[in-house]
Parts: sequence; C-alpha cells; structure tokens
Amino acid sequence: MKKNKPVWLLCLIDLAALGAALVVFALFHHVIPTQKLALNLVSIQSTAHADALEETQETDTIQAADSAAAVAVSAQTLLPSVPEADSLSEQTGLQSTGVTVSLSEHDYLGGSVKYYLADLWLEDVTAFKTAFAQNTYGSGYTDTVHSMDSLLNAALCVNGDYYGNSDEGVVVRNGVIYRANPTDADILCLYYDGTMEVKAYQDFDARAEADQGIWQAWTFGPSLLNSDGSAVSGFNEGRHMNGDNPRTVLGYYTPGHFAVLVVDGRGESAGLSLDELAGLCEELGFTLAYNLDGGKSSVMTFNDAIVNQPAGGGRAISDVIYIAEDSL
Amino acid sequence: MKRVKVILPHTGIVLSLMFMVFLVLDDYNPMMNFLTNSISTVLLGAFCLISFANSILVISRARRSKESAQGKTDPPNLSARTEGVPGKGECSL
Repeated sequence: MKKNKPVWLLCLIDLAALGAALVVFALFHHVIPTQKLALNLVSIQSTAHADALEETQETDTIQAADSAAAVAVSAQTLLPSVPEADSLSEQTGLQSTGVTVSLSEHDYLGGSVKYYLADLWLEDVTAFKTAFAQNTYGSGYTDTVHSMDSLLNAALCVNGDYYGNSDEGVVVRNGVIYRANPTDADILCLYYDGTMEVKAYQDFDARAEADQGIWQAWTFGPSLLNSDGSAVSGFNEGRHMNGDNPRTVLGYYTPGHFAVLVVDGRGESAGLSLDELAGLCEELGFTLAYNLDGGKSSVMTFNDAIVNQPAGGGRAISDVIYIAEDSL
Repeated sequence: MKRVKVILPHTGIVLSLMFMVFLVLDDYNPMMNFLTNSISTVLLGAFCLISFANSILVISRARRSKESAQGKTDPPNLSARTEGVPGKGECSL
C-alpha cells in the first residue's frame, strides 16, 4: 500500500502551485504586451459641446434671471486669450503665441509636503496632447515619463491614468475614442472647446461624445471637488488609495486654463491623502480637479528634466499627458 | 480517475488562495481590476466547477463509507439466511 505524503510536503506543493499560478496570471493580466481592439471612433472637432453648454447656461440664466452670477457664454469666447507674461525664466516657464506653461514649486502643510504646479493657458486645446507608451494601445506597453518626454519632444510631460492596467473605463486620446467600457470610476472629459467635465459612465455615450467634440478622456479619479469648487470629503477608495501618497492631478479653472499638479510622497515629502489633496485643490482655486494615477507613477518633466522626486525612482507607465515643444 | 480525485481538491485549494490574494490586492489597488477582468472571470468559473465536483466526490465518499459501516454493524438478516436452508424436521436431501 502506498504511503501517504507528509502533510508539510502537500502544503509546500500547493504553495508552489499557487505561486506559479499567480505568476502566470500576472503575465497574462498586465505584463505581456498585448495589443487591444480599439473602437477607433473619431471625434468631430466641433463646438457642439460648447453649443450644448451654452443652451444649458442660457436655460439656467432664464431660470435664475435675478441672479447676478448668471453669465452668458458663447462658443467664440470660450477659450481665453493667453495672458501677457512677465519675464519668464527658462526653468520656470515657456510661452509662445497661444500657449503659456509656467511651473512653480511649493511647500505645503508646514513644509512636510512638496508639490509642483504647472499652469497652462491654451488658446487651442489641441496643444493638450496625450500619448501611449511605445505608441501602442494595449496592456503591458509601458515606458517612463522621461523617456516619452524625449521621444515626443515635450515641453511638459506628466503621467496619465495608466489605462493599460485595466479593461474597464473610457479611453479617448487626441480625438479618438479607443474604449468605452463600464466602470464605477469618474470619467474626466476634455472637449475641443476647452471645457472639462467629470461624468459617470452612465452619462457617457461614445457616439454622442464624438459628435460633441471630445478631445481627451481619462478613467481613474476620483473627482476631488464639488460643483461649487469645495473639496469633497470622506473618500472611500480603499485604505491604500486613501492614505498619504504621491499624487498627480489635472486641474481646471476656465475653458483653456488648466493645471497639472504633482505631489511628492513616500520620501522627504510625506504625500497627501485624498482628503488633503482635495483641500489643496480647493485652495488652489480649481473649479474641477481630477485625481490621476499616483504613487510611483507620479512623475513630471519640464524642459527635458524630471522636476519632482518620484517615489522609488518612478515607474514605467502606459500613457502620458504632454504639451509639445512645437506648440511653443 | 484516481489521479483526478487526488488533484481536484488541491486545485480547489490553489484557486481559493488565488482569489484570496485577488481580494487583498483589489482592496490595495482597485484600479488594477484583479477581480472582474476576463482572466479572473474564467478562473472563477473553473473554481465553481471544481468546487462542485469536489463536493459531489465528498458527499459520494461519505455515503459509501456510511453504507459500508452500516453493512458491518447491522444484525444478520435471519429470513434471508434461512431461505433454501432446511428447516426443522426437513431434510435438504
């Protein structure tokens, strides 16, 4: 009669099998580069979204006729004139006709946190570009922000939403809708008219958005501010996401006026929780603030140099947001 | 078949531990979508089938053990044993 294997040996075999299974899973889930099928729905460069906004705001104006705050919006005046800049040093700012990028470094919370704020004024929102790592839509295609900065000849470059980590959500890049799958996450939409909006998936219709002139869309979140610009509180994104971490945020003031915020963390700078991050965005005066992939992914380059202190030296990511040097 | 009966419970253990790892990772980083991606969905289906098969095997083994245990402890069935056996005063020849 065959002797039973000892229990410890059976446990070891099962653990080894578990390890092997997890490695194989990881390889197929997010390591092995896999091109994905894209919707390839091209957005119309139109002011349809602006017109829709104008209709909504005209309705609101009629409904709030006594309100002194009612403002009439027209498509022609949505994008601001780029402000005259005082002398900008090469390290902190760049300006050309229609584009101003200015970068500043700040201490926060008594010096325990450092953040970098890139202020962007764009007369043409198509200067606000995105790119896939290795120029390929799929999972497992990654590259560092610094490397992509060089390849793209970017003046300013920052990590995106790491779309390659998941099959969920919406991916719109440079006017092309690649994916519009269900998600619980907030979706940030940027339109050709220079406006930004946060939407739930139920409110996102790919064809309608293409007709309305969507230029970019990201899926990560959460949205950090309420509609009145006050900070959202009581986030429920999981213990790790809620904790003190490096952060990347897209901020929005008015059509054509944006900001990119990178907060350092897990080092000399302590990082920010989502509540603290929302508070900072409120203090900075954003009308909309959207959290992107953070942690080791949070990297910003300006004039071909990394400006922040990425946690753990940073990591390769699947996509970036950038302003090209030839826009300037 | 014997080999399948040996491997099946271990496969169940490995899959259940995998999903425990996914639950922890999903709490840590929900954006990586460890639980609801297409691969995890297939693994969940396999886990359900294996659990079902394992449960059938366990129930079937338990029933057989019970039946064989009952066969050893039940008193002998006298009527069955006396059929064809010569009764008192009778002769089989």
